[in-house]
Amino acid sequence: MEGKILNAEVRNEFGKNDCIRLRKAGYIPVVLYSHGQSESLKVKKKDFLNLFEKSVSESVIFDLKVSEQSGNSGQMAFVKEYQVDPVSGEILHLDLFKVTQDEKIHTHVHIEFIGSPKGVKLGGVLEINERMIEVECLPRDLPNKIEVDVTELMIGDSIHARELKLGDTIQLYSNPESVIVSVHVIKAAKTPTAGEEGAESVEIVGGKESSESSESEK
Amino acid sequence: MLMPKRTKFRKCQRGRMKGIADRGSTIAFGEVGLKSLECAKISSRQIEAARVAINRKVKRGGKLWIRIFPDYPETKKPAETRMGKGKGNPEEWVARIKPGRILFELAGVDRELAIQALRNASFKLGVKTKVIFFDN
Repeated sequence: MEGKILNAEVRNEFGKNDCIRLRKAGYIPVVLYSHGQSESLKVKKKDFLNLFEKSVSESVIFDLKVSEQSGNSGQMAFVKEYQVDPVSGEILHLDLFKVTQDEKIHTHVHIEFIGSPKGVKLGGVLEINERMIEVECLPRDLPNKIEVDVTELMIGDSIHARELKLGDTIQLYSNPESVIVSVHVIKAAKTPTAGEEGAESVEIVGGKESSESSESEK
Repeated sequence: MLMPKRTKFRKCQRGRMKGIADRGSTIAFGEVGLKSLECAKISSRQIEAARVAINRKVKRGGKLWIRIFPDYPETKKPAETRMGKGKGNPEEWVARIKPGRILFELAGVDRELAIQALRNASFKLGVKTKVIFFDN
């Protein structure tokens, strides 16, 4: 948590057009929910981007201070889901999940890979299969990221989810057999056939045209 | 060149390309990706040229993912033909893409080299693109 604070305001604007106006005014529409109860909020885009400098993470718990709300200040939350514009990459909407201290949460944590594998120096390639893992733990035990040391990996070696050092307080929810990272040699890519293949060389299966073409051949 | 192994029909109606990519718009496999900013039809020749451009720049090492597939037949009438007499013959296969679509992904190479390789690839495509990164 480390004193991370996000200020929010109660939102009375709903629907597509109101949300577009909100975004133009520099806000992000937010919904805060937990145990079947939800409330509509808005946060300033600038504040949110200050909190998450590089990328939005589900494993950062922060204090959510809602103005215009009496007695319910200082609740903890984390980003459960977020919507991004596919072209511009702007954040369009946030789902925040309310957290209580003594209740386990189920979320994704980023994996950070440290070092350069020995296998890469011998001509291998480091392939990262999973960049996040699913865990369950109490909010106070939730790490911002999980560090994985890959310096000892040789060609053909891999690290599975079960081999991650999570500690006793964090329970793994991803498949324990899934490969997180591996080092292997890349096979030479198949060079496509040199001959000019027209669009006509494709086999046509079923359909009306195939029967027509067979008739015309007759 | 990329093309379907088998299809149900030889020719397709042209249709329209509108809206933005709702799928395939995030980096799924690699570390660096090339994102389209326009609607376009990218032919299998263009995809192949871009792939070669990336491989030439990267030389060895690294892994490339091609995230688009040309599965749409483009027809063309022969030169000096009068209008009518039916639709033209299939000439090439194209991938129809929308803004936001990831075209290529690269992993296992330096960031600077990956940017240069994807930039070289973008020159072959005839579409406005940008290079994006998967950041932890």
